[in-house]
Amino acid sequence: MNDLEDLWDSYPTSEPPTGDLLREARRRERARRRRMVLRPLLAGGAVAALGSAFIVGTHVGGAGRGSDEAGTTAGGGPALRHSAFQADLKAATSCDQLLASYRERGAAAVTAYGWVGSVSALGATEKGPFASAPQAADGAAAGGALNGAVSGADLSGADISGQGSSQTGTNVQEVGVDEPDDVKTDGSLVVRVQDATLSVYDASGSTVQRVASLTLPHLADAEILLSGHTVVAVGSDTVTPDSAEPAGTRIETVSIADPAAPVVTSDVTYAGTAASVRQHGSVIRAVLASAPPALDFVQPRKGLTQHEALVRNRAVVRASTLADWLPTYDDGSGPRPLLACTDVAIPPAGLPLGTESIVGFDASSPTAPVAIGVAGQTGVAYESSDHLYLATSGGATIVHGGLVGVPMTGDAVGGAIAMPCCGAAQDRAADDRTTIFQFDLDGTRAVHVATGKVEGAIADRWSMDEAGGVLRVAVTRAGDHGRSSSVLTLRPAGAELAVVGHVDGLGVDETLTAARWFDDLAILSTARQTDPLYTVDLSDPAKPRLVGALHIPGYSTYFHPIGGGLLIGVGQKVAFDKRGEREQAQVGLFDIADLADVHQLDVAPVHRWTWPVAADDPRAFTWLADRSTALTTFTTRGASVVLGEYHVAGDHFEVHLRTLATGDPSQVRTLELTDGRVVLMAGDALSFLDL
Amino acid sequence: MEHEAEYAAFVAERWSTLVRSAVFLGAAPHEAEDLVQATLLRCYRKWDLVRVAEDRDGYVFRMLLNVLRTDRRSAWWRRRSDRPLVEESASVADTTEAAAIADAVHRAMAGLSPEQRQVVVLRYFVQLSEAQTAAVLGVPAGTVKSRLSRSLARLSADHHLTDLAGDTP
Repeated sequence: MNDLEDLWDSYPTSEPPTGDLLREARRRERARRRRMVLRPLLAGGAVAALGSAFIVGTHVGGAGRGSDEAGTTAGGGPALRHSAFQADLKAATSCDQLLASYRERGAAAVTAYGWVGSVSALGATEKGPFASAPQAADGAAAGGALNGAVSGADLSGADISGQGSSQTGTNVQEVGVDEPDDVKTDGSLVVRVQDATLSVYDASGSTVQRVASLTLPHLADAEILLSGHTVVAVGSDTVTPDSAEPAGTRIETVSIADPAAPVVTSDVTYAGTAASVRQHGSVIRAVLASAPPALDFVQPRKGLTQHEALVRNRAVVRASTLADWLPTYDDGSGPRPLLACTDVAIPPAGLPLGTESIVGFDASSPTAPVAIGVAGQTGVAYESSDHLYLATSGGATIVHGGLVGVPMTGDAVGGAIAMPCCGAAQDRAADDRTTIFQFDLDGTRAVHVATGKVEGAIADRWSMDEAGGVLRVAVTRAGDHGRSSSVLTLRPAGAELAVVGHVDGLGVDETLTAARWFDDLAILSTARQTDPLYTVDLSDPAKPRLVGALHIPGYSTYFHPIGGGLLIGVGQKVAFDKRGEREQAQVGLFDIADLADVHQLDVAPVHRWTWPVAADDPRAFTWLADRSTALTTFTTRGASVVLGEYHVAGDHFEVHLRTLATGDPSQVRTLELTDGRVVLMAGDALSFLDL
Repeated sequence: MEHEAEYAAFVAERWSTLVRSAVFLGAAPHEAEDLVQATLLRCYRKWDLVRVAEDRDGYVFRMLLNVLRTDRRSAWWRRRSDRPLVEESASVADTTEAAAIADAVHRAMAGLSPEQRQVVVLRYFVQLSEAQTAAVLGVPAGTVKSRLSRSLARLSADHHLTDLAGDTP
C-alpha cells in the first residue's frame, strides 16, 4: 500500500443517493418530455454520422378524400352519445373500480425504490456515440427498399403548396392548428412573454414600440396563444405546494382589448404537466400528463432489506386514494377534481402508470374546462384539425399492466405487418409496440372513437399526420435486418384504427431525424451511414411502392415546403478529420416536382461548428412567401446565434447571415406582419428586420 | 424508464468509485458529488445505451470526464443546482475528513498534467483495462501505457507511490 492508495480507500463517500437521483432524473425526464413536444423528431444527441433522407409520396387523399372523411368522422356515422368513450376504451363504471385499477397496477409496478418505469422514455431512436452501431453495407438499405421499384408514373410534388406561418406568426405543424410560442401577433400588435412578463408592442408605426407590460403571477416558462384580444398564457405553476410532485400547469388569460392596459382575466391551475397545447379557432385544448403520485415510499437501507422495502411500498400503494391519483384543477375557488371517475378510461395493458387528461375550453370561458382522462400515460400527442391522437411513445410499454415483460396480444395488428416470427426477435418487437388512441374533436369536447396498435416506436408528434381521414405514421422498429423505419397508413374500421398499408425497410440501422407530411407526400430523413433520399408512391395506401432515391451528403432535421415543387431542408453535415468530428449546419434546396427524380438544387453551408435551431424547435423557422425567403437561426460553438436569410432565386439561394446580439436561441423569433414587414425578436429587443 | 432497477443497482455499485475518481481528478468533495450526480443523471437519460454498451464502465467514465470538462468549466452544474439535489447528510467529521483527504490527494497529484492524472485515475485506481482507458481517453493504447508509466514515475519521484513506480498493476 502507498499513500495515494490509502487515500483512495479511506476517502469517505456518502451513501449512494439512489432514490434522490431517481426522483430528480424522472423530474427532468418529465420536463424534457414537455420540451420535446416541440421537437420535429429526435436527432441523436451526438449523431456522428452522415445522413440520408427519404421522401414518401402518398396519394391517400386525392379525389376520394371527401368520401374518406365522411366515412371516418364521428366514428363512422353514429350520432355521438353523451359518452366520451365510444370505442374499446371503457370508462370506469365507478370510483371504486377506478381506484382498484390504479392500486392494482401500482402495487404490481412499484419497486423497492418506489416507482419504476413510470416515466415513458422518449428517445428510443436516440443514438449516442457509443451506441453499438452495426454497419450496414452501403446501399443495403436502399437495396432492400428498392426491390420492386418502378419509375414515378403520375406522382408529383409540384402542386404541394408552400406553408406560411400560422395566423399568429408561428411556424406550426398543421395548418389551422395553432401552437404556443413566446411571441404572437395579430398582424399589427405583437405580444411577447419573457419569463413571466407579458409585453404588448405596437408594430404599426415605423418602429416597434412597447406599449405595456404586465407580470403574470406565479407562472414560469410561459408560452402564449392568441385568440382575438385574449392572450392565453400556459406555463409551469410556481406555487405547487409539495416539492415532491412535479410542478403543475398554470393557464392564465389576459385581455389586450386595450393594448395599453392588459389585464389578467382568469387564472386556473391544473395538476399535471402540459404535454401538448393546441388552439383550434377559439378552442384551447391541453393534454396534461400526471405522473403516478409521490407516495410515502421507503428505500432499502441499513436495516431495511430490498424485500422489506418492496413489501412496505406495495402496502403504501394499496393504501393510496383517488385523491392521490386523480388530477385537480383550481380556478381560484379551491382545488376540485378535474375528472369524474366515470370520465376516466381504464387503459389496455401496456400504458405507464399515471393519468393523461384531455382538457378543452374556449378562450372566452377558461374557467369552464371540459375534461376526460385515461388512467395511464401516453407520451405523444398530435392534433389534426379534426382529431386528437395520443400515442404511447417509444419504449413506453414498460409496465405491462404492472406485469413487466408480459407482451400484449397483437390481435389489432393482425397480419397487416410482416413481423419477424419468433423468439428474441418477437420479444424485441413487443418492446416496440405503440398504441394509438384516436379522439374526435367537437368543440371543447373530445370523444374516443378508435384505438390502433402498431409495431414500432413513434418518436414524436411529427411522426404522425392525418389527411383525408387517413392517419399516416412513421415508426422505427427492430426487424430481421436491424432497426429500420416504416410508414404506415391507418384508417378507422369500427372501433379499430386499422393498418391499411405500409412501406417497410426504410433506412436500415439509421435514425429518423425529421418528418414532414403533406396531403400527398411525406418526407422523412434519417441519419447514419448512407445518405439516400427515397421517394415512395403511396397513391394506393394498401400497396405503397418505392419510386426513387437520391444520395446527398448531410441529413435534414427540418423540412419546409415552399411551393412550386420546392422544399427547403435545414440540416447538418458531419465531417471527420484527424481531430475528430466537425459539425456544420447547412440549408438545402430540393426540387421535388418529380418524385422519381428528386434532386438537390443548392446547398448553403453555414460556417463550422454551427447547429440548426429548427432541428429542435421549428418555431425558429419562418417562410416569407411574398419575399420567397426563409429565415432560420443557428447556434454556434461560441454561444452566439446566427440568423440566416435564404432568398430562393430560381434554383439557388442568396444567403445573408448575421450574428445577433443574443446568445440564447430560444429568445430569437421572426414573425411577419400583415403589411409584410418582419419583426425580429432577439433577446430583450423587438425591432423591424431589414431584409 | 425501462430497466430502472438495473440503473439503481448500478448507481449503488459505482457511486463511491465515481466520487473518488472525481476527487482524484481534481474536484473538491462537495463538487465531486455534484459532478457524479450530474453524470448519473445523464446516464439515466441514456440508460438504454449505457446498459447495452459493450463497455459500460468505459462509457460512464467517459461521461464523467465530459461532465468534469464541460459542466465544470461552464459552471453548468452550479447554475442549475441552486436547489441541492441531496440533503447534506454527511456528518461533520466525514466532511472534514473528506476535505483533508481531498487536499492531500490534490497536493500529491499536483505535479501531474490533467492528461496524466486521468490515466492514473482510470488505469491505476479504477482499474480499467488498457483498452478501456484508451477508449475513454480517445488515445491509442500505446499512449495509455507510456503516459501511465511516466505518470507513475513522476508520482514515485514525489514519494507518493513508493513501491510501484513504472509498474502496471
